[in-house]
Amino acid sequence: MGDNPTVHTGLAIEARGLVKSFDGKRAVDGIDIAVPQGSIYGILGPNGAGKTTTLRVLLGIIDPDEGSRRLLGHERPLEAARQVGYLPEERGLYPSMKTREAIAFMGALRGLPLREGRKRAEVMLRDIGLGGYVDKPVKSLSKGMAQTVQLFGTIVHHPRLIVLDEPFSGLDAINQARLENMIRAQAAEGATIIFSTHVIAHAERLCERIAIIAHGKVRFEGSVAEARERLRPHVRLRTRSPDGPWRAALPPGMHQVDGLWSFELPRSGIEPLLKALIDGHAGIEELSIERPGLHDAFVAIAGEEAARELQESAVVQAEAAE
Amino acid sequence: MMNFLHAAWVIGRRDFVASVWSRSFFFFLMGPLIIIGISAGFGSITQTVARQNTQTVIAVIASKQDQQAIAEARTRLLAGIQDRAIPALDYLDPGPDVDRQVSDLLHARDKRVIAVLTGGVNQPHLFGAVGEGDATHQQLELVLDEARQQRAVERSGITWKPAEIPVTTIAEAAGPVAAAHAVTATVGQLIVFFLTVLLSGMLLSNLLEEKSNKVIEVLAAAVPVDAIFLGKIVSMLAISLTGITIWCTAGFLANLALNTHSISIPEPAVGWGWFTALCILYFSVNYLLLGALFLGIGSQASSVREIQTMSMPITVGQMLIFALAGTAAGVYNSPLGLFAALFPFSSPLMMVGRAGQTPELWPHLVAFLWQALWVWLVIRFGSALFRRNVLKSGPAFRRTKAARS
Repeated sequence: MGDNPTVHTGLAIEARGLVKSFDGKRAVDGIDIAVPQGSIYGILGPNGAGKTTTLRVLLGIIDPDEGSRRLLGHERPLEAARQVGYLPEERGLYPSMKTREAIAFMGALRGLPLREGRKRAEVMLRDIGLGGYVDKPVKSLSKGMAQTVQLFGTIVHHPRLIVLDEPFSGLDAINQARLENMIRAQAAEGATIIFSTHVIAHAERLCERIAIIAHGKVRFEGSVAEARERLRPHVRLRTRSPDGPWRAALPPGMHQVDGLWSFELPRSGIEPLLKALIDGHAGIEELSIERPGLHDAFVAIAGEEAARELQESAVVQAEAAE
Repeated sequence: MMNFLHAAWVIGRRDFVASVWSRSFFFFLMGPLIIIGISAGFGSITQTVARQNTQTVIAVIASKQDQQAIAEARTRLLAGIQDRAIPALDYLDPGPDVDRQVSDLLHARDKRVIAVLTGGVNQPHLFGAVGEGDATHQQLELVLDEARQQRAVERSGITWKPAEIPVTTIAEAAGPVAAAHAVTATVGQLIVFFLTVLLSGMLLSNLLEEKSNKVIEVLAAAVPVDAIFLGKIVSMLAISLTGITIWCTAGFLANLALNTHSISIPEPAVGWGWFTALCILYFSVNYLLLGALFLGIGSQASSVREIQTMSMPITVGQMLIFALAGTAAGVYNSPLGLFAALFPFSSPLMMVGRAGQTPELWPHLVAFLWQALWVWLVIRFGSALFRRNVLKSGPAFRRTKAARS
């Protein structure tokens, strides 16, 4: 799949101190990103956080005002273009082009011979039951089909790096699941995948590593597990006895709603607490330890406001898909 | 470099195929036919109307004898000069009241009489909206002089023999050859200019499709913007040359079928073969130069309305460049001629003019290299403008729109 001159770091993408301003406002404000080869990497953040600008800078569509980036070892991203596939947030296809030609054309832009691109396009379309649309113009496709066609155009040349900007945006649940499977399949074949999203569930299900971006800054960069570990596990407890000496064993910051105690797992662990509850005859009716989800981690890392914006973005996306 | 050219080829091929296999290409091919048809129709109508409106008619109230003498004099004069150089004459016999007759003629709205001549050949008097020394007055005097001289010769009994000038034709004389070359040069310039104006304007709106359907983001992420620009203008040139080839072939076949006489144009200084090749070459370079500029300017527009607003000043600019090249072609070795050859946007037209008038070929090689350099520079300029203003790349101080996210 082409030469690979300088990828010794094991990183498909490496960016340091990226800054990009528009009208004096910093859309991207000193972003550092390191995407390991062969990983699925998510950029998580609400609308306006700087995700698209970051991806455009990484791909070389626009140059940063400050900072440096390497894409598959190339300091000039376009030099790696033949090994990269890109699905932009605003989908773009020529409406009059036939479906097969549209996919082959996008492959040809990345160096794939047209004839080979046409063959692969036919196979891809047939595999998902769109064989009847091979010679149909793009304008005759539904929105979901058109997005699938564009995704096929993004991967038809078997890129080593696949960049997807809000790939789930505008897709219904079935197509979202299909896309998730495609992403996993590409990763299984060794491709590195980086995608932006404001839907936490997608990032949580798919990504090995994530970057949480808010207001142009990276608030967190690491694995999903590391993000979760930012928060202590949560304990939920219901007792028969409403009060007693065991209460002293509960950590500060606890609260009770409808008889259910809720608090962070103490650093000393669950055993001392359990012992105090049993010795104090609390009468344990219900006890659960819950690991925090990525959403909780996001709130803790990016703040309530960013979390609310993220939620709103997800609602807008869901409405658009309907 | 190979990747760059391959990218330009992919973009250009897509544009070419999409354009040539579209319904609109048929209308594009029909364009000249429609223009020729409309021009011919309007030309015929306006010519007739103009003739009816402007040809001067002078009523001549005279005896039959004088009417005949004046008519014969006019006919003799017309043999050597153009029809419209002598006013049309409308011959009338004198009525019982000549003054009344004159007044009626001058006030009759259905007749285009601007003056009335009375008194025949010997005592002429002119009534009407003409002054002494006017062209009409002098032309009429010329006719009457001829009539009088003819009458005098007949009365004197002298046998008058019209002058006969023996002619010896030689192959070439410097004056006529230079004049003929100038005609060819002008015709060549006109053809290249009109074809460029007709065809290059399409490039103004060429990136609008990619911008409106967001394909530009896919293209810009995959290939350099310079390659997008190069691919687009070369494909449009190929489309234009395809159209021109079809038009020329159709014209040639129509000429054969209708057996019409071809228009005779003097041979250019470099010969027909070189002149044709140079015209194609300079049309191509002119198209690429203006096309690159138009694409760069047009790529800034976000709507058809903005494109239309841009078209007017661009057309005026082209007219000025044509005027410069046309004026300078006659004096190709003067400072003005050299300036027109060096100024990149007039250079192709100027060099067409030069090819018509002087047989040297080496200046064309120099000019071609010079123009090719400028084509490349304008493409780079246009793509840089596009990257900065549309893609929002480059230094921040020039940007005007906010980021999408």
